Amino acid sequence: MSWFAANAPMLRTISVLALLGYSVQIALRAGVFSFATVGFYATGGYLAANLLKGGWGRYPTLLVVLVAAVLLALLLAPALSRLRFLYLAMATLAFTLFVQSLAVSWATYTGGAQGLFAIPRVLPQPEMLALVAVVIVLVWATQRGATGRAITALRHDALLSASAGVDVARRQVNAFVGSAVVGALAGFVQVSTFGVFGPADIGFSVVVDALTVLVVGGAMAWPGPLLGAVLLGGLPAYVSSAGDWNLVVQAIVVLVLVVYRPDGLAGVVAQAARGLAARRTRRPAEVSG
Amino acid sequence: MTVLELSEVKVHFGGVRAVDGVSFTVERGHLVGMVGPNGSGKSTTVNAITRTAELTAGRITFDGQDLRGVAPHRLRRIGLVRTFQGIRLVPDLSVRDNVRLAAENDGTGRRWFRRNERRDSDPVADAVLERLGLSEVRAEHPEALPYGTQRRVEIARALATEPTLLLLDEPVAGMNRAERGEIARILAELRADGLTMLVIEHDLRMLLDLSDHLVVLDFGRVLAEGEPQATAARPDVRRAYLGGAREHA
Amino acid sequence: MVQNIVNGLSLGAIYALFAFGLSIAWAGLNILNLAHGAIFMVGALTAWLLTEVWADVPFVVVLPAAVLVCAVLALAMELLVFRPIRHRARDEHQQTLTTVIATVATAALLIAVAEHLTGGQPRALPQSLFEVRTFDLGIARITDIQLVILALAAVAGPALAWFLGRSLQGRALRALAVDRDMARLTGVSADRLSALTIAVTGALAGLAGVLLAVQINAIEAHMGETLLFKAFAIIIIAGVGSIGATVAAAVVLALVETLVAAYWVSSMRDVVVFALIMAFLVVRPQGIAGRGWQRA
Repeated sequence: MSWFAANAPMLRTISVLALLGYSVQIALRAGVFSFATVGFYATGGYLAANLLKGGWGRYPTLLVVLVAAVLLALLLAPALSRLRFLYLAMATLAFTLFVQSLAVSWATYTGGAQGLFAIPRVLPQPEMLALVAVVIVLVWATQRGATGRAITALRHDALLSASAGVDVARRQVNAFVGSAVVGALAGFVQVSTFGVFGPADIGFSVVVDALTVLVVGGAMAWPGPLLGAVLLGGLPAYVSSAGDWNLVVQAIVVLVLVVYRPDGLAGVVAQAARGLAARRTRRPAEVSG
Repeated sequence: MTVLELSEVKVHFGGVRAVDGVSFTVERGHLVGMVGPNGSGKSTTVNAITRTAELTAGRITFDGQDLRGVAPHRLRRIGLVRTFQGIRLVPDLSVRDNVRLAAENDGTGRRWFRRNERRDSDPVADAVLERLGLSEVRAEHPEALPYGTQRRVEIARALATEPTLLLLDEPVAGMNRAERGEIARILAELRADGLTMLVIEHDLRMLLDLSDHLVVLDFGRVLAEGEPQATAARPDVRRAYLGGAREHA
Repeated sequence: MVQNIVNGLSLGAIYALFAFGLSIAWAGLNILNLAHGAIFMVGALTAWLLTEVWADVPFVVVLPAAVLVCAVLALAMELLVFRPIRHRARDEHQQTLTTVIATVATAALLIAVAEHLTGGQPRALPQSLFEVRTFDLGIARITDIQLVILALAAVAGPALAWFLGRSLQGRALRALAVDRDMARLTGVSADRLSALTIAVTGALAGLAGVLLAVQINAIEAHMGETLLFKAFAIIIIAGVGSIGATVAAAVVLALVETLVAAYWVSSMRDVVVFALIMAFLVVRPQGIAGRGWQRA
């Protein structure tokens, strides 16, 4: 078990990145162009920080954080439901940045520009990993069967899906709420394992990280955010960094992937698997150019 | 027994009177054809029936129920299902999944974590695939299939909902002769089975063979309706059609 | 007070020049260009780099050079990023989303490179580049750079409005926005038009960048970020695609900013900006002068 202990910071980073990635994926998979993840990450994180510093136990805190996220999401959903695509993207981005700027101003609960320190780090590693695993299982479950089909269809063609009987509006609200809950969970994990939280952690750069995780790992498939998080969170620890050019390299990688391999790692793996399967089942007579 | 009734339906947007007083009925077990030159209001009428366009005036009744205020995804539940002018299938799903999609989403909305009420949806979907001769391609994805086959998948998807009325919006648009024949044959079979259908089409000849009743639209109004051959032979109908879409060879 | 208004007006002119590009890209090409701020920064950066390399370079060379660099940069984005995405996308939604993410990555790339070039420190342009002469109008003073800014904006605004409203390319762009397939059928080359449009937006961003660099004389890698979101506020309030309203909104925002900074503490400024964006999107997404020609 010493590997886990030795790599604790890396595993924490991977966990938070994975949760952020799943939060965005849940929304995007249902055709909801929401970048509000980091906003919920922020509200969840600050709420958890305040409760934990006030002496609350971790599971009561978690419960409050999740319920608050659901309520906030349900509050925002009707306003956002009339917006489509770029307008929704813009509104949710504005929400995230609004929360960040509010955090800087509202110093009593957020510690202002400095942020909050010395938050009790009460979430042990096994529980942290278990929470991530639960989210992965839930996401996997919603991507298969009838629910998976309904969501895939509605992402592609809302009109068609409605005519087939899919309640598009309800499913998109559900996706938005689910995305919010997982985002807030990420905030809770960040706060209860790292012990610090501030405006620098909740701004545009975190949005970029979440998107990187998705692009690298695969935006639509359930293993995607996990793969992306492992790469983004894990690789720097093992690969000797190219110094300050890290960010440049990361940006280039994301750019190339998003243009040429938008399905990310998960897509590459899936394609390879399909290729292997086809080769195996192809009869000799059919092998041709 | 009237399945669908349009009563003085008007749909105006801005200054445009797309539909300006259309009334007709579709009786159970009939195949009603709706024709008209471009701009006659056919598409808008379809949109009004399927609740993607709001009525400015008039009433649409389906199976005795006024459709005012009914959300589009609820139509499937009351038995009103459509196919689209351009083929709309989900590319990321197989043929079978495209059909299952319609079979299992009954428009009631499900609660999280509660099992699907319609446990028989898979057998229904498979039966429809079999019926339309699609079982062999069930695992394929739509883009890989010929156009005529894709249309068949779309019809299969609609049938999987066990509809009371099937509305087909230009089902043979853009098809060659062989493909048209294929679709016409299927529609004839469905009609023989007693399915009620409303078919919007440019291809007058196909409708003359298939339909029990013909409605001709022009300038947002019903120009003529009645027995297909007789209606199509009317001079005012012929005039409206000259300059509009001609039957393709 | 009048001085503040003069300052606010010239700031508003810069905001407007910057916002035009953003507006056109969104309205005409459905591109939410989150790299627009970075291109703006590149304009300022280019000006600085030129003065580093060539001490006596005249302003009359620096300005067009920076604008050109930015136009080329934007064109590169079109050729290397937007176009491949367009040609490979399976459906429109994926294309739109992928494009947004790509602009985010591009911005990150440009900013990271800029951080290296500036060594992480704010940089300044040499005084010799632009001899700021001040004209005393009695009630206020105006500098020649402010006059240049106002003049350029006064030219660019109507020129763009004419371009969109009257010219062949402008009409084609609007047709493209409404229905891409139909436009293609009538012979509009989506690729060429996109390239032209993006290059123009890049040029505008670069122009605004140089002008602001001269005005406030502080060039650093992140200078485009806050401006980017202010510009979004402007175009959303004005209505994406509307040139006239964009100018008005830009000027109003700049005036409010200048006056608030002069007479009040502005720590809540960002909060207000983002709250405004959200409020408008919820209540009136088409903005004040919402044009029908831009897509959902």
